[in-house]
Order: sequence, then structure tokens, then C-alpha cells
Amino acid sequence: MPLYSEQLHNKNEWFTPKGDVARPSLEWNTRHIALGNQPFDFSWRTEESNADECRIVVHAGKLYSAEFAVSVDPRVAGIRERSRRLSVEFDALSKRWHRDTRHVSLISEKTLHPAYLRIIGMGDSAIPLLLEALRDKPAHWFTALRSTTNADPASTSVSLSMAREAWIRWGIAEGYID
Amino acid sequence: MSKSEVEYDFPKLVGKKYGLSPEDFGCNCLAFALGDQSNWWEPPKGAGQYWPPGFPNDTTVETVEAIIRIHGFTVELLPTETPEGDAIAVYATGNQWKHFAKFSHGEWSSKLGEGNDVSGISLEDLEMPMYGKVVKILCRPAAGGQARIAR
Repeated sequence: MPLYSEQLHNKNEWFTPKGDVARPSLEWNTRHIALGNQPFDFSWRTEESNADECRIVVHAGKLYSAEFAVSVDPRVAGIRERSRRLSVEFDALSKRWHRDTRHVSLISEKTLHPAYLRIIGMGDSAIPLLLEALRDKPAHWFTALRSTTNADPASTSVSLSMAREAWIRWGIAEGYID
Repeated sequence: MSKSEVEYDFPKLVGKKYGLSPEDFGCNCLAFALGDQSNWWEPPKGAGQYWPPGFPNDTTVETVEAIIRIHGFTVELLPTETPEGDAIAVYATGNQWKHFAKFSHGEWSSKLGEGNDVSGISLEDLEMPMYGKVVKILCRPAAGGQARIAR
């Protein structure tokens, strides 16, 4: 389920907002605001925010302004909120795991490293962090993802690149990553 | 991984001349030794891993030897012999394989985990607790050629 659904008050087809309303500072990406192929300056502000809905006002130069009501999946938003509090520990564990297992030939041995097991122990709070890590750099996060999500979108993938793509697609569709 | 990171884990390479490829996440040492650079060969098949059908889902030397043999590596060499054709060396701890190196074009090379592959090495360079020791060398004789050259 997507993290949010959009309801455009002032619909305009060339403007496709993308954002993560669970973040304190909403990160808009200029790629999504373009007139033709020409990006231009824009600004936005959050008018109201609560557990269920966030209202955002966007101004794009003098050409466009719009107001969005964005609904939040509270379960996923909560997971993403908790994951941010674990990101420093996750990064440290991830670096330690990479350093200690980078030359190990078997995934089944890599995943027994204490740092990897600690990441699995973070439970569903680790899901956004695992998916972001996988999106940013290929690594053997599949066992941890299966363990923390109880899902396996890459079960039939026989190559690592296929498995990585399947997990990233799943993560976006479920709203864990943008 | 950088050369210093490789040599940190494999100190026998320090001071030696060897080749280092870019990192490649897509395959492991067994796949690399068998000439497949797009899959990670490890049981069981699925979830990003490849394992040939019809073989037990284990990491024993016996199982992997059978897999290597069906790829034409049928002549077992002694550690004192140098392969004439292509060859694969199996590193193991006890009865469990841990790593592989391949001999091709007159030199040994090996894919290190999810990182680089190193070339122009000796088999002893990679013998360490993580990989164990070389327990088997299997050679694929060149067409019409011999399998081994005594050192």
C-alpha cells in the first residue's frame, strides 16, 4: 500500500508531487517539478500535519501553486519514524558487517555475522533502512528483508540483480521507500 | 574494494604483483570459476541465488565436485602439478567448501566474496581461516592436450 495518496485541489498534469510526509522535513525532488524539460525554482510548506493527514502548499515560480491533502498509512509511517531513530546504529552495524564479511563466499555465512543478526533484531523498524541501503548499493540484504518483512517478492529471482530490483519495487509499492 | 582492503584480509598478497578487477556484486567465486559472471552459485536456488537442478542443497565438497565435473573438469591433479588446461581449485574447511580459484590462460585468479577478483596469484595466497586450504584441484584438459605438467 502506498504511503500516501494524493488529492490535487488544483490538478495540473505536468506536476507530479512525490514526497514522504512521515519525514519532519518533507523532501521534494526537483525532478518531479518540471515544465517541459526545464526544472525551475519552487517552494513548499506544510500547513497542517497529524497522524492521518498532512496538508502541503506548493509554489512553483509564478506559474503554479497548489494545495495537497495527503493521507498517511499510519502503520508504515510509524515504521519509518522508528527507523529514523535507528539509522545511526544501522549505519555502524552495516559498515562493520561489510568490513568483516566482504570476502566471504557464502551468503549463508555472511548472514550469521553478529552485526547482521542485530539488524534483523531491529524488526520492522529496519525495513526502510534495509531497502534504502539496498537501493543505494547492492548488498546481500535479502535474508534480513525476508526476516523483517515476512515477505519474499524475490523468491523466484535467480540473480542478485533481479532480486534487488524486486525488493526495491516492493519497497516503493509498500511505501517504505520513495 | 581497494588494494589495501584486499591485502588487509589477504596479507600474503602484500608486496606481490597481481591484478585487481572492479567490484562485482553479481557473482561469487564458484560462478566465476565456472565462467558464469552473472549469478551467485549457492544453495538453495531462488531469492537471488542460483544452484543447478538435480544436486543436493548442501555445501559439501562432494556435491560441488560433482557440479564441477559435469562442466568438464574431470582430471584431478596433485598439488605439486601445474594444470595444462583450465582448472578449478576447491578451498575447504573440513568437508565444507569455502572458496574457489580458477586456472586459465596460464594463471590463477579468484573472485573474492562480493568484491573484486584477483589474478596472477598463487593458491597459497588465499589460504587463510576464512577459506581454509586447497583440498582439490580439478582440470579440464585442452582439446587434444594433456591435463598436467609436473612442477
